[in-house]
Amino acid sequence: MSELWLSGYDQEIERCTKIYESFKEGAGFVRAVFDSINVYFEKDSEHAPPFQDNNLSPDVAADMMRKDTSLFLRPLIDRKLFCALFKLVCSTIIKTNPALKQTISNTLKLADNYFSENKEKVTLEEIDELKKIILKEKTMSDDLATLVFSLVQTSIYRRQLKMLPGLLRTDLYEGGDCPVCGKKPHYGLLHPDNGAKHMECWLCGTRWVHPRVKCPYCSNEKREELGFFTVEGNDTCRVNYCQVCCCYYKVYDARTFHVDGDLVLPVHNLASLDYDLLAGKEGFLPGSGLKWVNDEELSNRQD
Amino acid sequence: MQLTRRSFLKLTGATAATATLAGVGLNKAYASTADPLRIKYTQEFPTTCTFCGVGCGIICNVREGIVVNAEGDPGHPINEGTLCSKGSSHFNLSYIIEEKGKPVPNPKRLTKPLYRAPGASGYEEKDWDWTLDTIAQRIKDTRDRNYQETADVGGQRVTVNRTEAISWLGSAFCSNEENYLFHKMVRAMGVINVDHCARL
Repeated sequence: MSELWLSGYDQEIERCTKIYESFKEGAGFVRAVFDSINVYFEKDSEHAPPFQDNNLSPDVAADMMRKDTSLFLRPLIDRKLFCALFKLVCSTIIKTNPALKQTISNTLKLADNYFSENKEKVTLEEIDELKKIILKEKTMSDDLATLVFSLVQTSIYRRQLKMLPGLLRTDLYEGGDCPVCGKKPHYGLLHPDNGAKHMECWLCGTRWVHPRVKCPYCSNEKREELGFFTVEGNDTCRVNYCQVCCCYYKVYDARTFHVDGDLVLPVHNLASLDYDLLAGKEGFLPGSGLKWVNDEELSNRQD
Repeated sequence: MQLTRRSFLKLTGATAATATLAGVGLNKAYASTADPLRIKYTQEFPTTCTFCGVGCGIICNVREGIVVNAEGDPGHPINEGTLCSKGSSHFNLSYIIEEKGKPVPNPKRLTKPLYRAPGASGYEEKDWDWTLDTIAQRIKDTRDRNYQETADVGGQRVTVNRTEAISWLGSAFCSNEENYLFHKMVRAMGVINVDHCARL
């Protein structure tokens, strides 16, 4: 199904279990959760129809791209769709680990009661607020909440912001934020053809070329202050950092493995969460703002 | 929309422990047990290849002061990420990667002048003072022996002030300014056979 936002994820999971040692245990869960989301959308393809901004002409969009300004398209999210997907991901967590039933059920109750029933659409900010409440009440840790919320939001946004004919001019854009929705990226890839660095928006899935030696967060281009680290024995995942803003993002070197089709980077991201922990221990913060590491895990930081 | 802490506690009972990613198998165990020394920090330095006159953009990966890799710069308008075999071998000039993957100084890299005397079967190491003095002396001797003030051109003697016994080859490893000065210098000596290794 070309409509599915994660077509090809099954092969990607297979590939990732071979590349990332730590992913073998979690691969089953990732497959189950992606399966459930795709089955949900297969049943009703009317969910999250493509967003159209009638006020934005291709000329204006091109002008914005030329100035490295994001279009900042953040359509409202259907409340029922959000709640349904949230429930879906949570139920997959319970199926994977029944011991979490009580905790996840509590979170679900909270989400059910968070939005008022007569509200049809919700904003990303309102969803972030729900996440903050859940974190405050400690039913979910930072990393799990990040997984659940980012999965649900990206499932919707990838469908809504897919295909922006004439508007998306990535050939003109060199900015660090997503050219479509304006979110800061968490990962990217080195293209297998020429090694160009393509960033990918974790929210809407847009890819754009970004200079190899440049920080997407603070635009720092001083090569002495930029770099990356890898783990001995695995050159696929690079953690790029900037010493000025102290932020990191992950880059997957697609030249290191054979790729038949398009890469599903969200799978690589979930398979390489240990690199987020390493980056945190090295003193770097996620430039995307996504907390894939809990504070407790960083308690023995080496700085 | 608004939910207070109290109503939330009432709603959930708040008895269960916090659920984490480790609970679903995504436990980041590899990193937590990995020896921190296994992390390899690398910096990327965009620069220009000096092997020929095309001037391809390259990105050199530098680890602990050693160039460990060189690849084409995908953002460079000339080569767009590609690189020839000579350019790709940049990182092997001063260091080579040994069998275990560690960079070691290239044993074949010349660090001292080598001199082969006329008729000798091998090279001998010389210091820079001797080498430069010898080169200067031989250039002068050759020029003096073969200097031509005039030449017969179309049946007429014209002033040429040149020597055809010496040729000069510029280096792509020198900057434009250095090559400009070399060119001025050899022209002043009367050398007319001037070329450059990066001429394509």
